[in-house]
Amino acid sequence: MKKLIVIAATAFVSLASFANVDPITGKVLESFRTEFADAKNVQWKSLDDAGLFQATFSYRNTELSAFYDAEGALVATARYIDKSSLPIMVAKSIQERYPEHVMKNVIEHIANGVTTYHVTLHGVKSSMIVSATPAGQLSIFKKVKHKL
Amino acid sequence: MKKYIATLAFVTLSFTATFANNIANKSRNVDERVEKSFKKEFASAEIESWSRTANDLYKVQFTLNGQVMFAYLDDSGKLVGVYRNILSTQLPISLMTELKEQYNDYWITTLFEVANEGTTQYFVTLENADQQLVMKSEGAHWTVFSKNKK
Repeated sequence: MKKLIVIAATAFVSLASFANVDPITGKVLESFRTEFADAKNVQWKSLDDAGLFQATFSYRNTELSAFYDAEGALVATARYIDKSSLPIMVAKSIQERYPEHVMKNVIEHIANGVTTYHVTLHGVKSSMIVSATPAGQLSIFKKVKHKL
Repeated sequence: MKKYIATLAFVTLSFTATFANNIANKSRNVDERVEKSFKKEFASAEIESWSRTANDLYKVQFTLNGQVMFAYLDDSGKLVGVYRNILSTQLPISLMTELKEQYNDYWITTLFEVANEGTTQYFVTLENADQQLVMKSEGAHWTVFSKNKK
């Protein structure tokens, strides 16, 4: 399960290309409709290597992605959020640790009831994706050094 | 830690609007240790005002990243916690959805995020014609913190 969650997070963060899947049937669709009855503009993709299915849709005025395994179990959800929605300690930790970087995209990722924030930071010397717990513990998810 | 969060939530819920003894503007009359401790913790914060709560904590209102926040410190300068009022749209999606699905016959009167070093929690006060509910977040779900009939 942990591996699947990491794959779901990686897929959302890296915007990896997937095969479009249409239509999704059976357990996955049933589970999705139960969980997100009000979903609109649903688009499905499959993550073949991991055996996951990703639904991207509008839900309660937000764009959301949900990741399911083949048995219809919801593995994770992810969405882009505004910087102002980051918990206080996350914003504080990032500002303290990376004062020279500018915060770009922020993703809220929830799996097994655990919320993680993936924040894209751009700086002159490097860009990176930092993962944060709601309490502000940071780890580098991915880092790219810029050629000067 | 849990005790601190509960204390902070109680203080915030009880005294947000009514805390007494606004002791100073800016840093006047604030213990130097307390002010130093705050500035160390929130180096880029812009302090708006200091006040004293009814249960002897310092409360400082400040702006950080363009957002108004409040921190509580004890007499030794130890940060008890920090909170900010938020909109329901700023909640994690699981908490926002649960509120809308399970408490759609209530309206929100207060909603704030409470944080200290180890935890981040959300508290919401919900009301309908008959009762007032205060809920706190536990991970991705809400639990009842207090319930009062009107």
